[in-house]
Amino acid sequence: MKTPAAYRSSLTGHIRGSAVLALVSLRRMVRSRQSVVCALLLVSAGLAAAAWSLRHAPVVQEFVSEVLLPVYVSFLLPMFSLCCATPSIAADREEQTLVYLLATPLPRPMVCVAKCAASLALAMAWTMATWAVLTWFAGPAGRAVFWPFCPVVFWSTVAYVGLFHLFSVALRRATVVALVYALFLETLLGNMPGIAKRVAISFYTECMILDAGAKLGLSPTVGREPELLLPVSGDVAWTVLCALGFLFFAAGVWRFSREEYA
Amino acid sequence: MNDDTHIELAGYCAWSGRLRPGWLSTWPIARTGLDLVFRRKLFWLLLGLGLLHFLFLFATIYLKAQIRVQNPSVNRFVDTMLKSVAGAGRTYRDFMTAQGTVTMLLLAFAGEILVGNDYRQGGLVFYLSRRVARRHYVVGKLLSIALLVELTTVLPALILYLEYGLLTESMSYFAENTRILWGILGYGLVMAVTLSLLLFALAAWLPRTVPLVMAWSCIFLLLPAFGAILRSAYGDRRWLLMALWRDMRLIGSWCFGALESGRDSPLLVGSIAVVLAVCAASAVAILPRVRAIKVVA
Amino acid sequence: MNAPFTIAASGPLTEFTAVSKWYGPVIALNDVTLHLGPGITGLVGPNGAGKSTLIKLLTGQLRPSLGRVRIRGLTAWSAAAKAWMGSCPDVDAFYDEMSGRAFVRIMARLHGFPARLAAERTEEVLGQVGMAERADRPLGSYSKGMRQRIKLAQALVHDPELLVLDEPLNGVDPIGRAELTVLFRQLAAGGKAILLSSHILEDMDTLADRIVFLSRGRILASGSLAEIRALLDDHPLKVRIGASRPRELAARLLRSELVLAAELAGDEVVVQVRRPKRFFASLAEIVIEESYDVERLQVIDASTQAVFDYLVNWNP
Repeated sequence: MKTPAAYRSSLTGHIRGSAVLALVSLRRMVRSRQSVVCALLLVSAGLAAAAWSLRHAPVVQEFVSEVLLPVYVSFLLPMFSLCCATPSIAADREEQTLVYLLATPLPRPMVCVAKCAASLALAMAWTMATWAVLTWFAGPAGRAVFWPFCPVVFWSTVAYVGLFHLFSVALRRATVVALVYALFLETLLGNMPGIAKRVAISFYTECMILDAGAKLGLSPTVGREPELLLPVSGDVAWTVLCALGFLFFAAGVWRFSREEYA
Repeated sequence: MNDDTHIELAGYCAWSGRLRPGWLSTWPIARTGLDLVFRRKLFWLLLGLGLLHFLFLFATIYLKAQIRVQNPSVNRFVDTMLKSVAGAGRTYRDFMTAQGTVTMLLLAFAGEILVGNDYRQGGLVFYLSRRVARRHYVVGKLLSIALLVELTTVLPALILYLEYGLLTESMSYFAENTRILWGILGYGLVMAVTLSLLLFALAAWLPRTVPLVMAWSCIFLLLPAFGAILRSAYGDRRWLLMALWRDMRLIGSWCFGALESGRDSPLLVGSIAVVLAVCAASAVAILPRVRAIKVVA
Repeated sequence: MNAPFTIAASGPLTEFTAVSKWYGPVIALNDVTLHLGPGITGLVGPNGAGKSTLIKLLTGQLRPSLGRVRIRGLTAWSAAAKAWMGSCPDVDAFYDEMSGRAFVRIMARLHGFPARLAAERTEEVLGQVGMAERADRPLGSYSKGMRQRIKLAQALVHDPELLVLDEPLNGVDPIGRAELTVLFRQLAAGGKAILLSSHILEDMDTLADRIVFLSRGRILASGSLAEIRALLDDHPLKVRIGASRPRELAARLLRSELVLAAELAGDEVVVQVRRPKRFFASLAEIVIEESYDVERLQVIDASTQAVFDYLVNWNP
């Protein structure tokens, strides 16, 4: 067996170390108290959807306007992303355990990538699981939209996790800033007339929903009047969400590589 | 020079006063908590966001007053367009309710600093090792949270009330609308007591930021959404009682005398019950978390 | 396969070259030049001297505002330099839900070790720091001393050439301190360079081969304790000599140009001397020639504490 010295600064060592860091971060997040809160949210969402489905003959349009948009898109989707992404670097920084990670020979970009990968994996698991539970318990009206809207959930999660991970790298109070963004700014911008709302991630999520929903016969006035929303096409919305996700992620890696955490 | 000489030069003499009662420590505890919050830049950003709506209303009231004086012919038109700024109890109630989102965000931020840190960093032992009983500590912390709530709701509402009255032609606005003053204070008191107990209980059990923020957000955003879903599913307005902020608003409406008898009156008793239940449950939840630490004298 | 990332051992182990670091208007380190080699180097200074800043520059947590910090020719900020260095920080922070064994093993894995080697090295270093039997409990339940040992273990697990230890004996009981002192000596004897920061100056007397005295961001003195002490001409060395004929001995010593003053204290003579090396040589000759019975000989103010006090209060 090789001695420790043989592993100094080897590429395979870096890759192995990054994989271990991602797994350890994922395991710690799964075993933390926030997983209990997320699980409670998932169960609550399922129960609410089940109660909603007991109404007389609900249709897809009603599911989208009464459950999907106000509950899932406006709250659960950003919340799960916030819960998983904001502690990725910020928690280690707050608990002063970041020093151990920075003292390893893992290049800083790889540390950041590993942390973000863990956050994204867990956020995706929660958002997808909640989406599945919500649509399943909502009955036929919900199940009809499960597969068509899966890409919306996926890419919105990528964009939110990228943004909140950037907050985590750059800001001390990342969780509160992310909360302000998700619950205040997005609501404020979403209710503004004109194209100001195109700054918010939720706008592109809604555009993708409208686009995917059009194929299912959903009315474009679901949620709000189209002249208030001024939607872009589904392809444009998807492109923007992808680009935002990768852009925020890259900005986070760049910032983490240069920041002095001491 | 030895240490004794230094002390003498400093004019030191032994203290010979009387120690004050423990209840007087609640204000220093509250003040220290507020200092901790005020030192954060993020607090001022959140406060700025919270005051946007206040500034908008402030300007609108001023504009209305100017139009009333300069161009009385369009007064009715302006009154019709800006019904929400009529100087009635409803105006202030709606303003204080609209401050809900920012107040909620501010408290999510402050909860960790004021209470969560005491549990995570061991600050509670520091307090209790002084001549401060647990009840003094709890009341001090509740007072600091309550003051933050008043900062974003009652204080701006009082300023708007004063502005509206001072921009009328006589003091009769104040004489005729004392109910509004009591309404602002009453609604503020309900919010302060409820939110401070709830936040303390949550932060004591969930001192870390992320679980606290999530639980706090769920109470004010997810539960109302669920209530709306169930209400539309079953047609029973009592499901709306799940929204705590709405319950406090109903009680506030009663304080202002602005209850809509058809819609809101039947739910008033339910709202009071929900708010009292939340306060009681929070108080019960706080007790074991404060008793969890024994300070050996 | 690994060639592009393999760094050859070249150059001095660690060097600070004209390093300055400031935070806004505050200068934390001011034009510090320092080289570290094998052996134990103690880092001593009052609060606010810049010790933490120096250590953070060395461990790559901070970048210098001016100058260079290098480890084996590599910039300390770079990831590659960390492979040569093990850091035992002063923060008392861990992943509290993990056991000590799991924590050290994970740190080994983060250094790129495969699972088997990581497990082997973990057991080895836990044995070295005396935690082999106690490392399965969660870190949150450990005493301060146990936590210090785990911190040391994670710093040693990848067998680094340079160890940076910030207050490593903090909270360790006296028996543990003795054990760890022996360990540090063994590591130093094995060719490792150890930079050890401590407020407990008595430890430096027995532990450090060299001491770096830091104050207000500047290095006041650097070298072995004896070398530095000898340079402090304004503070002649005080030596206590217990002898059977103290008066005669005092009178005889006063005739030497190296003795500045002598004081009688019971059956002892306390002399103030300059050029200690020459003085001790001449004292030996005097004692032999004139048959004095010297029962004890003690240098009073050559301890790290004494030197530290002289240097900090020194006003050139």
